[in-house]
Amino acid sequence: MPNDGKRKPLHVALEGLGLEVQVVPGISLLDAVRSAGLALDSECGGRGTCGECRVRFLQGTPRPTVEDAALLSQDELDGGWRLACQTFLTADCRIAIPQRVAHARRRKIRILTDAAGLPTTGRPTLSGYGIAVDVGTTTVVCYLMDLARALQLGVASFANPQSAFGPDVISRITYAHRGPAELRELQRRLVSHLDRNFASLCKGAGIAPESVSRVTAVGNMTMMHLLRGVDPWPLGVAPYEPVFLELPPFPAREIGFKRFGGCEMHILPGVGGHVGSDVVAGVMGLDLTRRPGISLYMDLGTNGEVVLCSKKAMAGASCAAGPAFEGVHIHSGMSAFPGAIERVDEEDGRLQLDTIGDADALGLCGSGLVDAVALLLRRGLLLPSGRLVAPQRVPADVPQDLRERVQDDGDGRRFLLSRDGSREDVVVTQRDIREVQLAKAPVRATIDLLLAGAHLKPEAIDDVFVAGGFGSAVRSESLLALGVVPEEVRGRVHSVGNTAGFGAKLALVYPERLEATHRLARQIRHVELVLREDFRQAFAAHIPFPRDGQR
Amino acid sequence: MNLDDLKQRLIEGDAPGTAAMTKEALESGLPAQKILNEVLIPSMGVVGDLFEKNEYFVPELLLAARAMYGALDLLRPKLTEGDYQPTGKAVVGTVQGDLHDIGKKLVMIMLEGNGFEVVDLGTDVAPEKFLEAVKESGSRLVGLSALLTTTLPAMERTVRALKEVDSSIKVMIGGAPVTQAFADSIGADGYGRDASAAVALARQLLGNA
Repeated sequence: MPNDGKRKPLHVALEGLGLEVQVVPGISLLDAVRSAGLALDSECGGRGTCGECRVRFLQGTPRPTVEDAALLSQDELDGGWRLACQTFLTADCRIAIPQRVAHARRRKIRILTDAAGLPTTGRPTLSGYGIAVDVGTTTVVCYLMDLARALQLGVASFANPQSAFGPDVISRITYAHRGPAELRELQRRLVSHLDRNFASLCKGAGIAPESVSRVTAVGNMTMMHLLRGVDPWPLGVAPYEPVFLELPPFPAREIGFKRFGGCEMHILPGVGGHVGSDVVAGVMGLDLTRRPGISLYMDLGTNGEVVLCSKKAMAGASCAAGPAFEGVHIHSGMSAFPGAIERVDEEDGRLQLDTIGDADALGLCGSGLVDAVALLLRRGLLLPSGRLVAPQRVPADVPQDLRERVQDDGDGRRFLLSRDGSREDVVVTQRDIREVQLAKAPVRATIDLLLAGAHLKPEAIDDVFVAGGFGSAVRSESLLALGVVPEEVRGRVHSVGNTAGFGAKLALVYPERLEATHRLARQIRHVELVLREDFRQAFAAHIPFPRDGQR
Repeated sequence: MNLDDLKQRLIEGDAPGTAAMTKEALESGLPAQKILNEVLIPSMGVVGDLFEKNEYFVPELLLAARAMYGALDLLRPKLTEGDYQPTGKAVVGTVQGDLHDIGKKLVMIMLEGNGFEVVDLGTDVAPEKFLEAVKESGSRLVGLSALLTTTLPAMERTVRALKEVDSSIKVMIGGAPVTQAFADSIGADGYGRDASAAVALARQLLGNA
């Protein structure tokens, strides 16, 4: 890039958003867009391999790079499409960001199911106010609580601002490890958002920020490390162990809180590996240790965490499920925002789609994808091996509306979900199905191995609790159809919503529940699976989908 | 006997069928070398094509590999040094800090299916281990795999270590976070986007494309 001493700022106009940013020449368009505060997805972390960050140039279109040519069709290149991460700006330009992303920016995040009140498991002994925080990799939720009355006064949620540096924990770990400045930046972004959201919660409830005395925070192991400002690098390389499991409480100002600097901050303890405090809080919140019988707790996302609980022993493991359950790396995939298809069903021989917010279908989130795969399997449009049938091989009993959606455009087989001339078709591709297979196989292998380790058969499980965003949205019927959970637990699968946030609230209000999380974190035995040969075998065995009757 | 049947058995991953028909072929007097070159290797080529076309996936590939290894076990005692020339030798492994092995396993299967002799060092392999294996096996080709972006620096270290010892050793890399640009930036000799591409690359790097 030519650089003659004086760098004149460049102007990047973002069509349709009414935004213009000024940037220094030479920075990537991805960084430029992010500097405008837009969370443009980049699954690959800006390496030019995923194609998520594609944008269309309207003016000042640069020559395509090798990466552009590899991921975009000639029509797309001619139409001005480029990868934002591979475009290093040298001139003013005007770009259009795909509707999916532009839309996502104006999202109102759906709050996961949770009751405003807490069970009266004890008498609150504290007074004043507190805030419980659930730091998700994608979404952060804060609950303002009246400690004396165990009453929720308000909820605030926001997209995790660290998403600009990568959608998953591994890309955040990579970024944080670049240096102390990057680590601090991730921490600062999160904490400043928390500080601001805390303030608006207080304002909404009409209480003074000074009257908030206590904060509990839960999240996966990486989020906990980033919140505390500890380099999570050891979580990113074998044997994938955290730097800390438990922390004593500390004043919130130590991690950069301003208005709420005086609060006593409790980062709840984790179990080990990637099994973090969100899982501990969930298991504590559901009171699984006191439940009779055997229960299985699972949180499904890019990482899947599974805890097997019985009176005798508890064991927990995590596995890399890959991003399919989050709608990432999927052809028409998107996060669970308005416009995402979250349910796919069949009624009177016709396809039924439900989108979040009843908006026009823009894409497909994890639960919609899983539903679609279940439907395809049920109708014989998808073989248990994971191969979509050819259009001419569609079984005779498949209704017309479904039959017409089975396509093979030479580029590969696909199933059409939604077509609206003004935007790209929403489809499930053969490759998407492979991604689902790679996401579900490790989860099921984890369940199998935890059961085997406890000398239990699947039928011994009394209840399965599925937590988390994807877990709340997905139907148990689809989990069974795909073989994510064993057939033997049919009828005993419960979707429990945001149990991590619920546990954080309990630990905030009841000191004995906070104590319980510390006990629990030590009681749950962490099982590391990735090295084990039997895990590899179970993984491979569960890549195909179950055949009818032998799931 | 009909070698097409044997091919089909192997492509379908039918291990007992493949073994039985390989035995039959040997008993009928066909040279082991001919069975290897005209049946096993082309069949694994077909498997690779099906995989590339998304027709086959990991389980089908693993089944075909099992059938192939069964047949190879039968052929090996009959292959005398003189009439058997491996396509090439390679050392493969997942780099230090990374415990994921499926991608590397697929590459290994496809290399072996194409007549390569492969030394598999497993996962979480330190640079020194690669050096040692190269020395012991006399292989001129090393394949490195990584699944996590966090282990890309280890890949770079390994390439550097190998090239420092002998700059003529060819190193090819692959895995989800790897790109051609990354391969170029760390001085690797090539990048294969999948197992089939890795085989073509291996042939090219060893100069017998």
